[in-house]
Amino acid sequence: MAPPACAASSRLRSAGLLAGLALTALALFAPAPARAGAFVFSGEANGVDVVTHPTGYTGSGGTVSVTVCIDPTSANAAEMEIPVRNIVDTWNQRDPITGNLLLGGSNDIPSNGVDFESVALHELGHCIGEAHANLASESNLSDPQANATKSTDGADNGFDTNNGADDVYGSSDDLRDDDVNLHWFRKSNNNPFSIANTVDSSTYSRDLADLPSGDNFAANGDRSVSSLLGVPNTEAVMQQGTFVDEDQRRLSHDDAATLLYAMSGIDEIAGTSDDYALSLSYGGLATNCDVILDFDNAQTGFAVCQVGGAFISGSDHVRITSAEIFFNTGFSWHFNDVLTADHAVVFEAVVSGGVSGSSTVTTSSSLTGVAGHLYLAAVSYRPDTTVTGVSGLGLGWNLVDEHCSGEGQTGVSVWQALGTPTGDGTVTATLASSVNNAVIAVTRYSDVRGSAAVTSVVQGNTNGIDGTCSGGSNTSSYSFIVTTTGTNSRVYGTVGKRNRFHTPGAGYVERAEVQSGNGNSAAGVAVEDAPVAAPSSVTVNGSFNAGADWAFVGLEILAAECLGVEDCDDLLFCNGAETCVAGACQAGTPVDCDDLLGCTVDSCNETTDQCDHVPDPSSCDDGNACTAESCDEFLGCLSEPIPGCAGGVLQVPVQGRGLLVLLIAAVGAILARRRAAPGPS
Amino acid sequence: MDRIASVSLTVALAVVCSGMGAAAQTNAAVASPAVVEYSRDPSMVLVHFRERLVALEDEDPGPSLTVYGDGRVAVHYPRYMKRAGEYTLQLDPEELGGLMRSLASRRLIEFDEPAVRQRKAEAARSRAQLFEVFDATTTEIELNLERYQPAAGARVLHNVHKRLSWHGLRADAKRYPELTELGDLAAAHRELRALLERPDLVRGP
Repeated sequence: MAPPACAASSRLRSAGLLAGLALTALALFAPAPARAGAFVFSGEANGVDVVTHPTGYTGSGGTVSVTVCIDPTSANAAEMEIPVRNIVDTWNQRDPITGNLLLGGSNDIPSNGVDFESVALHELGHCIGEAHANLASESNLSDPQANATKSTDGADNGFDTNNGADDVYGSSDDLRDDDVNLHWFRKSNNNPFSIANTVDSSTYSRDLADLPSGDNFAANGDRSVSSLLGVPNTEAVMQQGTFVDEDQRRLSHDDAATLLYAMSGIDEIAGTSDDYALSLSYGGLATNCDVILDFDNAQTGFAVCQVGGAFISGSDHVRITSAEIFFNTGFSWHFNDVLTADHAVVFEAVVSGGVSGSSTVTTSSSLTGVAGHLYLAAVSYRPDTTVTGVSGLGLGWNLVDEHCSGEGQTGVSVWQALGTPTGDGTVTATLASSVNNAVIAVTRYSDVRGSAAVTSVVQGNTNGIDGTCSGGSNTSSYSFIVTTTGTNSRVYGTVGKRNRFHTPGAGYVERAEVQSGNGNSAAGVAVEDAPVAAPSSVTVNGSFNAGADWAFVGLEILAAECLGVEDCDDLLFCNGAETCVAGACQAGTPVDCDDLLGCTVDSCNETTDQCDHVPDPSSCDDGNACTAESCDEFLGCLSEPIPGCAGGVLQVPVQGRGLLVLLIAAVGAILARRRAAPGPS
Repeated sequence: MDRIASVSLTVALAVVCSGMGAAAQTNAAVASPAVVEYSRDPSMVLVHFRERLVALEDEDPGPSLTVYGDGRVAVHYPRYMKRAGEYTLQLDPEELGGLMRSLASRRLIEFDEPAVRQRKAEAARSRAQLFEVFDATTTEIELNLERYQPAAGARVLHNVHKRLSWHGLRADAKRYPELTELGDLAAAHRELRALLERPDLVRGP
């Protein structure tokens, strides 16, 4: 942990004596790197040095996963999906640009429209820890004073917003009297439209003493400041204030740097063990995510992020503990319908059911039938048997895998279906025999790679991977490795068990747990899943409230490469029109430019998106000296008799020889010109 | 003030609250009568309400509503809202009286913004969990009364002009229910918002 710049604001909440001594030693022997600001919760009340992290960060390194969902009951839920997937990807990419403001005719937004994606990108920034870069409305100031850089109001309890000689609020020459800066800046240049290769306390600071010579205050990412610095049409997304008819769907350098600073961890030093990687994922239409988006007029008159947090023990760092984003329906919202994010598998819904003393088990409620979505049915039973078939939604169902438990008391069977459902409906599994109890849990996933979506299947039980169906000993947990191959996949795990309760493994969301019956004759099944960003060896695990005889099937669901042809188009003409078939891009058939004329040279022209057919008369030579050959682009070889030529010798009177010379010269010129002429485009 | 006529209303708050929904129930304990008088001058603004959209940069700061002495209501929706344009609505005397009684019952005249802000800061400090709301709107309410007596025996106020402004009212009222002033203000906000959003608004100035 870096020594605090301001002792009064330091919050060493539970540090032990040793840690305290170590801190003191650091403070004595190292220069005090002042920490950066502009984080949620930083300020006089909680400390000016507060650095806020996304949900899930505990102070240890690794990957911090944040899920983002749309409330399924929200107005405009369907229209929100593409913009929300885009903003999740934008914050994941952290790929800053200049010129991120597209106004008026430069964008696809109606003149009186408000771009939902731009506003949501800003609000999501708050919900992962970033505050406004400017004083903003929470200061109770109005524009332009509210454009001044984020700060406290100082000892005089009033903001001092002298905008300096350049007349621009938020720039480096602002005179802010006793206001305490909360915005961290790049030490080397105080330019929010640039970013250091390494973002941590060695390169960024909140302490005005670290400003470049001549600067008075930390500059922020306001659009007026960017114009001043020669990078017009650029503004930090976290600067408050969205304009009508404005597209601001890309981050600026200041936005990315703030997040990267937090990711340098509690010690605020990049490259150490407490650094973390941030991975946001879209969780679909659901309410069990870390960040929920919803249209709710009771919560906002426009758009808000409501965020809760708690200090990370022993530090002045804060972890977000709750985050909600609300929008008001009364606006002319423009919903971007172009997906710029990579495709990622999205959990959509689950239904389940159970039965006693039957050879069939059916879900207790209907699933929505959606073309192209993947349906996975997990069935478990007591005693062990096999599933002979699954039906429902008018789809064809195929067995993925089936496995027994280690003592052979139960088993789990996983079936998949994908296609065009005939409508909504229940799903029924038919067993080979009547059983004491049976259960079924059917999950639905979108944005999957068609019939090739399910892969990397692993099965096991208490006897291990591919374990036999007898001789096993009960255990209270399970753990298997699924080796994934795709990007933005989802790992799915299901466990069939008996009279036990299941707890999903770390990082997994339990989609269903259903049990039928009691005691030894009970049957139960649990389903969990988690997003996986890149190919890797993923641990699929979970535990039970006591030792259990269980059976496991795990698999990877591959993400679609495409949803439509626009996702596959490589913008090349000559290799044909690519298509999107069941979530996978298919190469097009190369354009056939053969015009079946032997004397033309055929080729495909990428510049004109047409076939070229260039005549080549040399291939038309018929060996007859008394004919003049040519190649016509449309008719092929043409052969014209040369008047007065017989047997290959010209028969002309002496007095006509001068005319013959002229005739031969004219024919030669014509042929030469046709040879040299470029083909029509 | 160009006074044409004025109306005097004696308000028994406990009775008023019966029709005001759950939020108003908090006032039921204050069952003392209030007296409200307001002008009937058609040009006199009795109530002005605006929800200022501070997170949206535009010359037009947000939707607004103005209630005049004759019961005419003028509503404005900015160009970037679905209902963009100017609307009117005519409240009959009974409706107007009900609105003024209801607003008076919210103790808006007594609302002491710095004091409430101070109490809110104290309440925030007492919470274990940190909490912030970003990009909330600012509620602005202006009331003009000719005569106001908050309770029997209380000092009578004449020509009362009250302007209220609160940033993040929806979230603050929800988070700090012990601050009854915010609850009252939020209830007034909801009431005016409901008037603003009435489906029977007539387009036109």
